[in-house]
Amino acid sequence: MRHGFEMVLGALMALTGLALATGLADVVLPQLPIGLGLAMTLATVGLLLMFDGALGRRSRSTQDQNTNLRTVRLATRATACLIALALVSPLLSGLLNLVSIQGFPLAYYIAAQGALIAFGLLAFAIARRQNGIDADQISSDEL
Amino acid sequence: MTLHTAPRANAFAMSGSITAVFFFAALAAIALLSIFEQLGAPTPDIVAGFAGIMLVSFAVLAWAMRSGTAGDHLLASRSVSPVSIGLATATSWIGLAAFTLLTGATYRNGYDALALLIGLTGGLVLSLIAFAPYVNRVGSISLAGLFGERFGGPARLLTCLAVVVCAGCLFVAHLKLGSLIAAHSFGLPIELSLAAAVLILLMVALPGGVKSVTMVQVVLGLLVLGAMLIPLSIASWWTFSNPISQLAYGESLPRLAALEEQMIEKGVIDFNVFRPHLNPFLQIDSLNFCTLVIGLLAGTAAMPHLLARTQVSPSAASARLSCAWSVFFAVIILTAVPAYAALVKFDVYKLIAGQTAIADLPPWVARASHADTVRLWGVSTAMLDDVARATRAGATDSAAISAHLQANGSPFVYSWSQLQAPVQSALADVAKQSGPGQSAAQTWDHFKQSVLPAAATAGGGEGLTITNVEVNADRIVLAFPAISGMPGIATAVILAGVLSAALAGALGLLTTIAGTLSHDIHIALFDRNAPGARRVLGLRCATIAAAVLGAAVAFLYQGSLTDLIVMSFTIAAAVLFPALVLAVWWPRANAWGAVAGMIAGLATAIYYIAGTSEYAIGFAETWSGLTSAGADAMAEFGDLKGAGLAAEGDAQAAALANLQTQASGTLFTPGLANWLGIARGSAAVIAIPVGFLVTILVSLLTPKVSEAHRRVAMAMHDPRHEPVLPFEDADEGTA
Repeated sequence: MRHGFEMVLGALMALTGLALATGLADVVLPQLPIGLGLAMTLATVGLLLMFDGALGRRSRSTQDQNTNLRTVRLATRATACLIALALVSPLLSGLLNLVSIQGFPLAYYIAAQGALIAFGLLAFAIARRQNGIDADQISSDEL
Repeated sequence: MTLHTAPRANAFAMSGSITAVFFFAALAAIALLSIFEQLGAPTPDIVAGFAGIMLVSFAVLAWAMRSGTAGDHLLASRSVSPVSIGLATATSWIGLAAFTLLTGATYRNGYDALALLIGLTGGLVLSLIAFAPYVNRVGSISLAGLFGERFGGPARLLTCLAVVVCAGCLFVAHLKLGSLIAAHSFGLPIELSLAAAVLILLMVALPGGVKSVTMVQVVLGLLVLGAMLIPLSIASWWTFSNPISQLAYGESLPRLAALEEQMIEKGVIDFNVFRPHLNPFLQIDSLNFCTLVIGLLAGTAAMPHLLARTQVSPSAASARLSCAWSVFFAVIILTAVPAYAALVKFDVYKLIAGQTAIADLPPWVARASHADTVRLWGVSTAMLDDVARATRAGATDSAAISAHLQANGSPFVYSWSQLQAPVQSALADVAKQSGPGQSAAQTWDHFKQSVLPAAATAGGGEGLTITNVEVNADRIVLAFPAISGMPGIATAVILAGVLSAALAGALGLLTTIAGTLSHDIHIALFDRNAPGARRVLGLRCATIAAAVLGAAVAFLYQGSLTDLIVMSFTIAAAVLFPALVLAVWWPRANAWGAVAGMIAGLATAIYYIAGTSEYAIGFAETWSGLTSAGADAMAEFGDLKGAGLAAEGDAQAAALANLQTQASGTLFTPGLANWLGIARGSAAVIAIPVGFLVTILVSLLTPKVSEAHRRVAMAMHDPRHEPVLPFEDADEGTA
């Protein structure tokens, strides 16, 4: 259920992104305040989500703890997070700048510090998760 | 595995204790020199003394890390701890850039320059996700070695070429920038400073290869970190009573915005150069901001010398942690960059918005002028000092002074020639009055009374504006302690930090180039069964050759450093990135696909860069359907070209030059010649999909990968796989 939802959501995001990027959406929504960059990012993150959902379904249907699949899924999700973090500030700067924290306008804050700090947290989280997956595989082989 | 545990644990502990010893030694040196300074030693002596002490300690450390085994020379025997590798990687990667170019870019462009920070840090994360741990399992010493194992000979040779050009460009850039700063700070000619750089590099790299380089990089990293953070924390404590500047400088941002508004109201702004600090997309548009980030992400992740650095980790799990630590240290350094830019900008704008009179200029302007970081109406006291040297040598008129400046390699030759005659004579008059023993305060007084009024009158008689207060933005970190009035030891520490960053970066690149040349060309092609001693000898020869050649190129190269850096990133992203992704993550990728993909990526990038610069007019016409400029602009462009060609002689040349400017744009702002509005600085973003497509298609159309190559692809994802160092057995007894 969860993986199916993830796939559908990813597909919708990818389609919307592509439609906006290629100008097909102009018929329905002329003058959308969204640039080519945002549309392409939406499409990329959508595709990654869709891929992740498909892998998740496959891992459930095969019913085994396929570690290689877990590795690929983690890498896919991590890449989606990375791209979203890297591009959230430039793509939504107008919106984010309405808020300011400690004197920092939010878009500037995210680009100058927030995204970087999030990268640091993401890096340690991935390293831990993936090292856990590797350790699982070694111990399951020894059993 | 069990056999290796004990020596590795020892090596981990060793790198920790070396770092601790060095840390306390550096503190002791700082304390000692501070005492000398209190006793009256002049700042240049303190700076030179600190640099000397640091150099000697590097030499001792490198000598202590000497080794005769190929395992140490090529991979530091895969025994370095994650925190050490993280520190070494982060500081050698972005240290020098953070001190100079990144701070300069942030000062000039505000928000738009932050794309660089995001891309450079994010790339390290991408490397962690996709490459470093998997490449580590193969145990090859360079990217070329990995491609050799995974794809075979031809791919190895092509990668060698790409790695040498990619790392070579950055190596030359590090050497050039580092030796320019050293030459400027110690008053040396550039040849001498380059020669010294080569000697220092060899002094560190020859005794123990990658082992000594990695250990020295760790202590260099410590110095870089200290130099980046301590002066900033002190300044932040003085200004905001908060030593964590990354949090504190937020307060100055709204005030900076208020100052910018005042400046606009007072009309002291030239809108061609003024960029409000917090507003996005004034220099590059949002699309190119995103493509720049993506290009930097891919380029950093596939950068050969960074991947080589994680190869000294004992295992994939350890390589992952070392990548995470490198992100951690990179974040610490890079979050300081916008803080430096904002603090200096705030002071400068306060000066301009307040329309400060010449007599009321605050003391920091005197210090900044002495460091030549700020010039008012094109003149500074640093310039006055050089002119005074010329007049003391007997030069009286403008031409003689200019000749003397030129003969002594002064940086002011061009700026002197740009000054108007009254300003030149005012400078020369003040220079004649000043004796060699005159204090900086006296020089500043004379300068303020005679030279600045003359320069202001020559500049049109108006007050300070954004154009006549020139800030050398790339040098603001270097001059920061002097500007904020810190003691000379702070200048010494920051200069040592900058030079350490240059040295650490150059060392990492040098070992990668030398390792590739000796191991992936010489050994792989001609001497596969070489014993360990011959491998070490070959590596040492390659190191000397690469260092000397790099210095020669750095001396002869007169173009811009930005071009070198862009070229390096473009090669890493366009050529190496797609092949590397597929090599690691797609077992079906084969040698044909990889070679075709690399060539296609390179060709696309070159075509796009050349097409949008040199051949922009033709490119704009050929691809008029794909440009972001729109049909009207292209029609107008066609009319202009018709009119231009119809004209004759000079008029035609002028019309064509105008067309060329319109069509080509700049590195990060597209002209009319473009595909979908992407500037040529981000050409990699176009080349990457081409590389992927070609690699995948060709791999599917050609025979499947051989069994040996498939095993390598599988081993990369097998957590039980431990690489063998093929040269380990041959080394016994050579140490």
